[in-house]
Amino acid sequence: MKHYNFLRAIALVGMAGVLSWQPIAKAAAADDAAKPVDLVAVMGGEPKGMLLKALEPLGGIGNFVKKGQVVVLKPNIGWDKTPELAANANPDLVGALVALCLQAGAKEVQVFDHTCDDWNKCYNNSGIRKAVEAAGGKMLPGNDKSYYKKVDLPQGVKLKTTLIHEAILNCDVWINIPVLKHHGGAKLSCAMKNLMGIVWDRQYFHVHDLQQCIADLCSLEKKPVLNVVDAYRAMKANGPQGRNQNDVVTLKTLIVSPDIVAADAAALTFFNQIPSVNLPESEVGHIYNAHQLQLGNKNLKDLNIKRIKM
Amino acid sequence: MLKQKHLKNIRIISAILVLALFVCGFTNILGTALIHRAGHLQFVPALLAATTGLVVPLVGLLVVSLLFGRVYCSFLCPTGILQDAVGRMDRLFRKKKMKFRTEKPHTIARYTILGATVIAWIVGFNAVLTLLDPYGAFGRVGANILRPIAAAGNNLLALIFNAFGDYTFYTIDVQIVSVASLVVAIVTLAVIVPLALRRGRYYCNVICPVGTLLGLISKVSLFKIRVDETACNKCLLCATKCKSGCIDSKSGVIDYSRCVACYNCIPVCNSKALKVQWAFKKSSAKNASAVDTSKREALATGLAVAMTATLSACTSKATAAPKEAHELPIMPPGAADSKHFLAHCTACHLCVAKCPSQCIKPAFLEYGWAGVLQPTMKYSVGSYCNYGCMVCMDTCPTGALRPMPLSEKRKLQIGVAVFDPTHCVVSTSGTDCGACSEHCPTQAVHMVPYKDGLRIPQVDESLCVGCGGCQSICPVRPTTAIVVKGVAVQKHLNIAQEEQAEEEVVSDFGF
Repeated sequence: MKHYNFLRAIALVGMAGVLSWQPIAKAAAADDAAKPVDLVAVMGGEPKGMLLKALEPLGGIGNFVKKGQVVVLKPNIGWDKTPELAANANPDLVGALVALCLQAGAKEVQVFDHTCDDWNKCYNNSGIRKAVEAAGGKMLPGNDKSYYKKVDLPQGVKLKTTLIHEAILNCDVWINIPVLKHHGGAKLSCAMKNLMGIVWDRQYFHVHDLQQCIADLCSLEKKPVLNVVDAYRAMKANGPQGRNQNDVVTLKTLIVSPDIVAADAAALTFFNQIPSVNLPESEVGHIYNAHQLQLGNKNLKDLNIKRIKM
Repeated sequence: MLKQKHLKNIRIISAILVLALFVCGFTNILGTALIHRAGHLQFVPALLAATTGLVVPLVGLLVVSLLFGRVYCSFLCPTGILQDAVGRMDRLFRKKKMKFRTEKPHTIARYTILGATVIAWIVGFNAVLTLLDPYGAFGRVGANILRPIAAAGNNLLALIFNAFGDYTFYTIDVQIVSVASLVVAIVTLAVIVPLALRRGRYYCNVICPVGTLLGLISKVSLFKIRVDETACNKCLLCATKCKSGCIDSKSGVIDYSRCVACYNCIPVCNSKALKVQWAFKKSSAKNASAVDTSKREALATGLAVAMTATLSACTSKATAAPKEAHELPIMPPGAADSKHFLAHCTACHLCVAKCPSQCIKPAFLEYGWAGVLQPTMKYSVGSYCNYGCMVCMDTCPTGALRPMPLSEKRKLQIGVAVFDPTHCVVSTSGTDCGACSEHCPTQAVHMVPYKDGLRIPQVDESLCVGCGGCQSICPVRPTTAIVVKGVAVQKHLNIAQEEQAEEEVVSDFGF
């Protein structure tokens, strides 16, 4: 019986292939729509509105954050810069996400970054402390080695072990919130690069092949459940700090994906839409390296992408 | 009318407040604004600030001294108060009765020290004043001993609180500021504490040049503690309670040059014979000049002049020798040039204690002997001058670091980065790095094409403020591939204001 069914199936598929039999083709299309959405890109709204729009096709925040969970948000808060300079993640976006997680029933929402500049100044001047605390979240310090615990990265090529902030290790789920930026060293600072803010010793990365170490870090067993790429404002040059307003371009865009490699690949393609930017994929080695490690899919044509313009 | 026995209580309240203020200030429990203002009321900072044009604090202190004698020593000086506190604690725990003996005036010693300090200061050898300034001495104890202890205490609290998910306290780095300054702070305590326990204000009356100087003013002050001879029954209880030992145990005569105006003697007198009075009121009170010390003083001052002139002749040679550019230490922002800086800093280490990045460290011999312990910038991993930070300038009470608006500080060149491409990861490993450029706030360090799609740093000196962000993050250790060198004169860079460019527009995702 089984063999018979199998043969019949082959015959049917073959027929459909040859004749493009309409009902089957339709069924296939319907199947595609039911396939989970891999990535959502939204353009033209305000941070909070775009976030809500982006989460809809992904099944809402409840798909990622469950009742009673401790959630960590890891925005980029690396620099002592104000929001309009786009060196850090947008505070409105971070605040909105804190509120959403709490609405979804999160027990606690913690926010931190291992900053580059003085951490208190970064937390304050980025506007993120204020936004997070107003939404009911909690800012954690990331300034001292004692907060970081050793973690092995068996998949890593150059980075085999590193110290990771305990908030990431202790939480139930965590969400990565990068801001889209040019970067002098890594070329592009986005979702994968933002993970360098959960580790203590970044110097190791710089000496042992930065592009490979960034990819290796993304092999961390406890991956972010979502990557929320803030491109409301992007830094098109002189990143990751920027010199002034001229390095900033307002794009009013948000890219959200559970796949960190796909998020960066999409962000890079989008980044190249800025007329003055020309950043070949070959230069952003960490995207390729992570794809090779099968940490995600950089080939956007293979992905189910939702594009929304507001 | 204020009862005179309360003068002591007022003094104690003031002392407690001042000591608490400085302890909290130097241990970073307190912010910068209050401690900065309190610092202005310290004698040596006020003196140094006066030479930069801010004369009000100094005039205020001099007027108060001229009115009431050495009130600074008992009401305001943290080192003086520390000695009182140490003595008080000792008596409290050992339940011992306070009993002091009458001290000799040590005229030659104290005037020699004062003379040497003044002359060394005038000729520009600031180290003597720096080491002997009682405020600076307390500051070094605070920054080098109390601050690490407070940091450790904070970390203990952080450990407990964080375990309960409360991050009101957070772990901070506990570090020894520098070996030299720690040794100096320990020696300071090792001298002051035992003396305070056994001899009261002996240090203040023999070694401290501020005490000796104010003593000269105190001699002619308008209000003094005077003994009413008709009421005094010569029990001399007052002399045993005098921390300064300045009441002669036989005659009951007060040496005003050594009286620190603690007012302890007033309430102990059973006959109420001691009162603060207008100094020129006719009464049967004796004055202190039972022994004419003027000849001794003249002799002592002469000795001091001769001694320090020799000393300064030696050192001015040493300091005059021009240093090569790479040897220059990096001065904290606002120091202007080494001449201004060394002449006005009293090495209190308030900036050292306050620097959020902990990149200000006391120098050893980087400035030469004249600048021992004065602050210098030492960039290390994670420790550099934050682009948006002005804490050191805002907190400096002496005017050694001159405050300026943030927009000006951001253009102030305190050093220049020097890049060594042969050492750089990009050339030695052939991989991307760019950490230095990443941390450069002005993009003076920027990435230029190298080979194989790689980029390598390049320094534009006309944009470099010398913040050390690049050096602090450079992964090449122990000698980094990019190093900031000091400049002789801090100057404002002429960074042209960029015109606002028209913003680019993007209307499609591209995928």
